[in-house]
Amino acid sequence: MSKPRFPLLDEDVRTLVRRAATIETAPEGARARVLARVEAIAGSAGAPGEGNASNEPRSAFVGRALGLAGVFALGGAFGAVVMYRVMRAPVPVEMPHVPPIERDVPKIPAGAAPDQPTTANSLLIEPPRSASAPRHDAVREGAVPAATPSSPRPSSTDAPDPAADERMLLDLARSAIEREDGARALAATQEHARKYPRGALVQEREAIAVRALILLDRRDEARARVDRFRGRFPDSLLLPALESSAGMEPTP
Amino acid sequence: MTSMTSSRARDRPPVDAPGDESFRAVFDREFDYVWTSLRRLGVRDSDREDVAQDVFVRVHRQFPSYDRSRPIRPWLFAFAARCAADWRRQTRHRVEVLGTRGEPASSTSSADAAIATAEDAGLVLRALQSVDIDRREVFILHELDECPMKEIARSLGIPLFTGYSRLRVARKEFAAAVRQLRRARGEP
Repeated sequence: MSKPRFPLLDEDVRTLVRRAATIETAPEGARARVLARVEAIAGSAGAPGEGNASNEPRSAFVGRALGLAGVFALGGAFGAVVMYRVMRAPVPVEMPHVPPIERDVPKIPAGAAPDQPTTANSLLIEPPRSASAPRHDAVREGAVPAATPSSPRPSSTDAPDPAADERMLLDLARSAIEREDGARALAATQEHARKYPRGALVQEREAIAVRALILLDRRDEARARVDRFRGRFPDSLLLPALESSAGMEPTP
Repeated sequence: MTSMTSSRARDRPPVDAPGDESFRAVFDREFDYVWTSLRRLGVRDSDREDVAQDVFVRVHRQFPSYDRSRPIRPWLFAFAARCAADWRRQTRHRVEVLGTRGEPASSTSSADAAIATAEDAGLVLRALQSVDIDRREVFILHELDECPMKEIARSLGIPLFTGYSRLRVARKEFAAAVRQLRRARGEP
C-alpha cells in the first residue's frame, strides 16, 4: 500500500492497535459446540445453500403443501367460528376454549424463502432477519428450527413495556441519524426526554441529540449539550466520542 | 463428519470442493476470527457462542454464493456484524465494559510482554466500545484486520466515500477514548 495506513492515528495509538490486532483463540469447547449445532441445523436443512423445493422428493413437497393447507384451513374455519360467535353473542362474549396452535409447522427450507437474497452482495447488505437458529436445547432435542421472528411478538395481554418504548424512540432517532435527518432525530430525542426524563437510556439519548445538532449545523448547542453531558456523566465512555464529534478538547 | 478441532485442520487452506467440506474448512480456519470479531463488535462473552452459531448458520446457507475471488474475512465479518446487530436489538445490552477474561493469546514468550499485550488488547476493546457501531465496523476491518477500504465498502454494502468518512470519524473517536482510558489508568 503506497499511502500511510494510519494517517490520522498518533504513533502511540497506532502501535497500540497493532499490538492488539491479534486473533483470540476460542475455547475448544465453544468451537465444538458451535460446530455441532451448526451441523445439526445444516443437516436438517441440507447442504450449504440447499433448500430449493425443486430438489425435494415430490411426495415430500406435496405432503408439506397439504400440511400447510390444512393448517390454514383449520385456522380459517376456527376464525370464522369465532367471528360468528362474536357477531352474534351479546357482550360479554364467552370465548370457547382455544387449543394452542401447533407451532412445529413443517420447516420451510431456508433457500426457499422468497426474501433470501441470491448474491453475496445483497446478502451482506440485508442478511435474512428471520434466520435465528435454535439454541442449545432445541438442537439437543433434534427439533427442526421454525422460522420464528428474531424477537418475540408480545401478546395482547402483555403489559406495555416502557423499556421497549424507550428503546424504540431511540431506534427511531438512530435511524434518522443514519439518514442524516437531524431534525427528525432531534425530535425523537426530545420526545424521549419528555416521556423518559430519567430513563435508562439517557446517555444514549444525549449522544444522539448531539449528533443531530451537529447534523443541523447547530454546533454551539451541540457543544453546550456536551458540556452538560460532561457535568452529568463525567466518566461516561461516550464522552470522548461526543467531545470529538463536537470538535471539543477532550476532558483533561 | 469428522472431528473438527485439530490444529492441522484449522491450518489447512479452504477446500474448493463444493458442499460441506469447504464450509467445514472455512469454519475450522476462521472460527477464531469470527469469535474475535464478535467480541470487538461488543457481543457479551456469555452470548458469543450463540451469536457465533447464528453467524455460521447464515454463512452455511449462503456459502454457495460466496465469491471465492474475494477475501473471506470481510465477507464473514459482514455476517458477524449483522448477527451482532441482531443480538443488540434482542438484548439491548448497551455499552459493555469488557473484562480481561479470554484476552487474545499472545505468541510472545515473555510473561511481562504477554501481560502488556493483554492489557493493550483490553484497552483497545474498551476504546472500541465507545465508537459508534457503524463506524466501529469500518474501523475494525481497516485498522485491525488491515482490509482495503474498497473491500470493506463492498462487504458492508456501503459507498466507498461513506466508508472513508466513517473511518475518519472512528479514528478520532477511538483515539479520544484511548486517551481518556489511559488517563483513567494513570498513564501520561
